[in-house]
Amino acid sequence: MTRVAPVNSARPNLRLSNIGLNVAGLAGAVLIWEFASRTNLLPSDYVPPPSFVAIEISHEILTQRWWLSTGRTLSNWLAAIVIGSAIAIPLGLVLGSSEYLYRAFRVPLEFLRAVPPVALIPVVVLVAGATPTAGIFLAVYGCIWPILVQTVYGVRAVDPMLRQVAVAYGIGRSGSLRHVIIPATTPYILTGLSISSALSLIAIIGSEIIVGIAGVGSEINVARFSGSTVTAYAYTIWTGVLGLVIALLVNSLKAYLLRWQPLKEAQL
Amino acid sequence: MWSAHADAFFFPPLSSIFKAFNSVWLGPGLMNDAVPSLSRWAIAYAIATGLGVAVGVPLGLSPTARRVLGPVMEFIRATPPPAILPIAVILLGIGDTMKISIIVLVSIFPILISAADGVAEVHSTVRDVAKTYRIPFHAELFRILLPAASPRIFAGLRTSSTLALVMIVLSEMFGSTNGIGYRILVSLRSFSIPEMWSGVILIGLLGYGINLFFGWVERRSLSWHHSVRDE
Repeated sequence: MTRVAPVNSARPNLRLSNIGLNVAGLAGAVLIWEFASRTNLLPSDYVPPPSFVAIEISHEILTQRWWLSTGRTLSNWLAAIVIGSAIAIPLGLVLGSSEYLYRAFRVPLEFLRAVPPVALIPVVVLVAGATPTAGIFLAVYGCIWPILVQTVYGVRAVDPMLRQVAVAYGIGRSGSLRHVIIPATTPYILTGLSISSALSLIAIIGSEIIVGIAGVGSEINVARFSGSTVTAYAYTIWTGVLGLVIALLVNSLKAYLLRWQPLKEAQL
Repeated sequence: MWSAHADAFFFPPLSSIFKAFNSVWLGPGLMNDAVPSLSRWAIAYAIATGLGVAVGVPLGLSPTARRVLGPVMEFIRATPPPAILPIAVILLGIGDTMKISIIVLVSIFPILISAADGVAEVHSTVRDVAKTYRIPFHAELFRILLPAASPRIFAGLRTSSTLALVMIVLSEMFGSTNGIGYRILVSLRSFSIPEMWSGVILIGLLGYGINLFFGWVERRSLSWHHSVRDE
């Protein structure tokens, strides 16, 4: 959520009270949940109180299974993001620099982009079975589009003056690509990347849950089928933590790569 | 390119997929699967829109409320939606209630957040002017705040429409007795490959159609806004 920073957020005491409100909100939500579950306002068989879930997490987090499934999910996610970027960024640079290619491929790409990756789950399962490859393929399919679209936008938005300067100085095509186009496009590519990183986590965990590819998602299902609701909640909450960690990582990568930029765009 | 695969079992020729499309989706599948899917989508999406705007506007007006609810919402939003499916089934079974609630839960956030951001970004001078002229709150809401936030809200609506489609398909694949996602999975399990492909194509068409539709609505209703006029 892009928060609108208060004008005088530099004042430390105001910042502190912001954090206080944040903590109060979280604590309040947990307390309401605990209360509702303890008093059976929410059926506690189906909605265990958060204290039980916390204890369960503290047990499970020491097991090998917990970290093995986490490692599988994250490595599949990473593979998908790397492959997706390796396809989408060069393709976007090419499509963005040529008006002719852009017009020729726009409609088919728009259509492919509109097909949600989940629709392809059965197809991928047919071809690859319930393997990590199947999950990675789905995630790559899902994460290509935001990066591709953003890259194309970015290249097309490069200031024509910059291009002309590059031509005037005769730095050649590869020089202008390296020193002008790619730096100017980086903020767009990173915006695409942050959308894609969330999407591919969704695709990876979705395929784990629907198809049963090994990972955190399949552990949720295993726990559900064996009737241990608390464990299912523990793993579900863990996926939220993973989602947050990934979002934070991508944001700090963005801030690091864009540290040369004026603040406004780097903050996105 | 497609017909090069024409004799492969998994990639049947387009003609037989179209034949399957005709017999399934223009036949019994229309009432049994497509209509239930679409009506769930529409109900859930309408609820998400209403709730999202209704909660988002007060959130946009109150920075304190944003700070209190922010972290909780961030966490729910960071949780990959499919991971919530098993718990939703534990809680609500595999009926329509489960599907509609999970779609609302997932697709409400883009709408809610864009409404809150849109309202929060209304320039304070504009709101001061409204106060000076003693414009009643409902007029301020409908004449100033909502129109000013509408470009953002539309962007949120668009994101949500795709999310809602994804979740409909996923929830039907996960646990259901009818629907497009269910039909695709059943076709897969009975190795009716052309039927399965026809479902995949139907979802693609729906996704594309929804996108086109929102683009059109957005251009029509935001025709006064400079970002649309400039195009």
